[in-house]
Amino acid sequence: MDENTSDLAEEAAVERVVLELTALRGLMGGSDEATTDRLRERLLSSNDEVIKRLVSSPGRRLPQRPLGEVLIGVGELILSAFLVVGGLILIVPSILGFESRVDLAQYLADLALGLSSSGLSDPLVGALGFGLALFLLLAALYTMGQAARSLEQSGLILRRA
Amino acid sequence: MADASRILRNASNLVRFFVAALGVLVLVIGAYGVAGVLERLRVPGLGAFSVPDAAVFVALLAAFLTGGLLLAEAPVKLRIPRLKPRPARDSPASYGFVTILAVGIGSTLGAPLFLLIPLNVVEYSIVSVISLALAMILSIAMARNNADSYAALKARGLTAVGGPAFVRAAVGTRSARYFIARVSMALANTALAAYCVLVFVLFIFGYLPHLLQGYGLGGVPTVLIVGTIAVLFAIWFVMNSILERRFMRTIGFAQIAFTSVLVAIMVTQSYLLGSAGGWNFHGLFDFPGASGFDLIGATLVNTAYLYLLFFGFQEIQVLDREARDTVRIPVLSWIRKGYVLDKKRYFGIAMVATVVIAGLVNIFYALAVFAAHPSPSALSASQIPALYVAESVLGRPYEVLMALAFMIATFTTFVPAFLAATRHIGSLGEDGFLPKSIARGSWLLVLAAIAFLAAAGQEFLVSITDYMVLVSLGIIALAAIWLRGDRRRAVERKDALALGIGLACFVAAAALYAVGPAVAVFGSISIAVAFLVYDFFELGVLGTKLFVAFLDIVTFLLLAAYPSSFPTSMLPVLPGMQMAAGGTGGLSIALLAAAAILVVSVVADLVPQESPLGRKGGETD
Repeated sequence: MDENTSDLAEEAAVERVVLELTALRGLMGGSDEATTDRLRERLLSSNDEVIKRLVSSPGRRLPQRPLGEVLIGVGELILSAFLVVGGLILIVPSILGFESRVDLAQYLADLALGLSSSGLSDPLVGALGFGLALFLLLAALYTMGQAARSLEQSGLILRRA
Repeated sequence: MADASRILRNASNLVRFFVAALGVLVLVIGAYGVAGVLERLRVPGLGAFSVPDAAVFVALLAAFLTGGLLLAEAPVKLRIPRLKPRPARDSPASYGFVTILAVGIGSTLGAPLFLLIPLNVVEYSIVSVISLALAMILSIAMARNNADSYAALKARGLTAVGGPAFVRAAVGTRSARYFIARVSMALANTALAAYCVLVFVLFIFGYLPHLLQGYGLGGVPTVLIVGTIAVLFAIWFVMNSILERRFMRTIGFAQIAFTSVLVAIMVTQSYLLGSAGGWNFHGLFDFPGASGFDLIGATLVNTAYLYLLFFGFQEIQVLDREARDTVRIPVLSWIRKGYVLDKKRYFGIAMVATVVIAGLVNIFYALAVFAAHPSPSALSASQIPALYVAESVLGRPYEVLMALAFMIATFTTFVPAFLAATRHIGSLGEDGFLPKSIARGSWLLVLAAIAFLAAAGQEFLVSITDYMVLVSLGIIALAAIWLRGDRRRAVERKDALALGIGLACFVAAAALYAVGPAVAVFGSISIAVAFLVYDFFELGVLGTKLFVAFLDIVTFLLLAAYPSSFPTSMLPVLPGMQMAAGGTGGLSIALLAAAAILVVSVVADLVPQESPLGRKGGETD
């Protein structure tokens, strides 16, 4: 058997494995992650070292724009921190047992009116606020770029030629 | 070179030590502040809760998170050593159909029956009976759905232990849905175990001595009997939790005996109670002034409230390893020689049979209590209403018999609930959400949680168990849909059962808001906290540190926007704390310093690694 024939046979065998795996996925059902978990569990229990190595060291593809991904991630963390604090501020009265409608109405009214200008005049507050705002804007712009790529991949928008 | 490395290591340890010390300080400030807030809430006639108060409370919660993270930076030498995992011991499966059924019924017919049903049926009459029937129908549908999921998983050669395992099989381990289903079920079982402990303590120390004195027994015999019951309870607990493998067959036989006696007493007492009242259902349908909508709403809320009386049937699924692969069915296998059922089928039958038997016992007892027409005010005043009804209508010997049934029900509910809670936490350890050493000590966590929850009172425990179990069961029911891969549309006709059950569970859970808003708030917050913990696992150590650092900065800004005084506490926690409590300046600085340390820590963790920013995109590891 010459080298070309051997390569072709090898290629065909790999193709068969891929097809079998696709068919198996349909057979197993459940989410992609669950199917992957089950398949990985089964393959790891095999005695073949090559299969074990293949499954236990999955190739991790790095993102196309690492800096952008980091900025998006950090921006989303800052946004999450704001949302968590906002959510907690609204739910704290309920956690502490203040359930009367009058109390809650007064509380919500205070939320807008109770801001203290003296506290906000601290230069550290201004600097931190500005820094966070800048970071959020930058992250938002990168997130929009990410959104555009996602939409393009989904086929919803077409890139201009 | 070696010296430089040693100096660097020592310096790193010193810095870590100071960071951990700061963590302890932040935790103490947080605990002191929360104690102050709670003390302030206890003051009667307190005015409205202000936004600055809320800002301080949020900052204290952030301080807890921050303190915990800083403490985790402690040098390795100061950390608690991890325990080596013990090899799991296995024993041959020995439970047959009857034992499985007995465990299911024993877990379902629990202590809550003796407190909830008499009060509920006297107050809500037909609404109560319809609610029990609806809860039974919902549970039958759920048992059927679970049996289908169980069979589907078994057919694929997968082990499915407990309801949340279906969710794991359907959506994978790294899923918020799975995590929430598991945590909610753990919390529900812990609350049920706490409820059992609470009513059992009430019974043996409050009710039983009076009962025994009524029979003319003196102090010493009373103490001996109470002590014997407490010891028996402890023995049953140890046999089930620690020596389960060794005493598997004995436990199985004991479970059959307990359940048979319990069901026999309940049926006999119900019959006698109903007969004593001449099966007089006068007033069963009387609801003066209530509209149709009122009745529908009341039925919905009451069904959710009474659901606690049904969810024990799920314990059957946990016995996957203990149950035999094929079993003979009593009577059927005697008539048809060689008739056997495999586990896929008999588990489903046992679950449905459990719900039907428990449901009929509950409804029969509810109707009998109503027919006996006990005094509503005396019933409310009694500690254990079922015992009061037995004593006032049938006489003292029947009260003793009912007390025996109550003890059995507590025995057969507390232990499965406790073990289920520990198993759920153990599963979180196996899935990598908890360190295995902590997961192995799950029994200790559950005991601590029981002690904490028991302080919340009976009413709250019933409602929170209902709420958490309904949320978890809703997700588990929907897992049947997610398990099916052969779909062309998002929702298909064959999903109707799972979708209906899931929605019914969520609607019923939401209806519990009407029973007590505190339950909905506590339950929702618990789920949100579970989600937060799950997010932390997804973020990893670096991501969590960054998030908490930003949380500290945002909280600092919040404190600046809404200045307030620090909530002072009478606790002598830290010298000088009272002086520092004038404002929130100290807390703000601590949060800001912690944020800076966390960011530096992230950078320090990243520096030794090859920077991802320096790599070219598209490369693979």
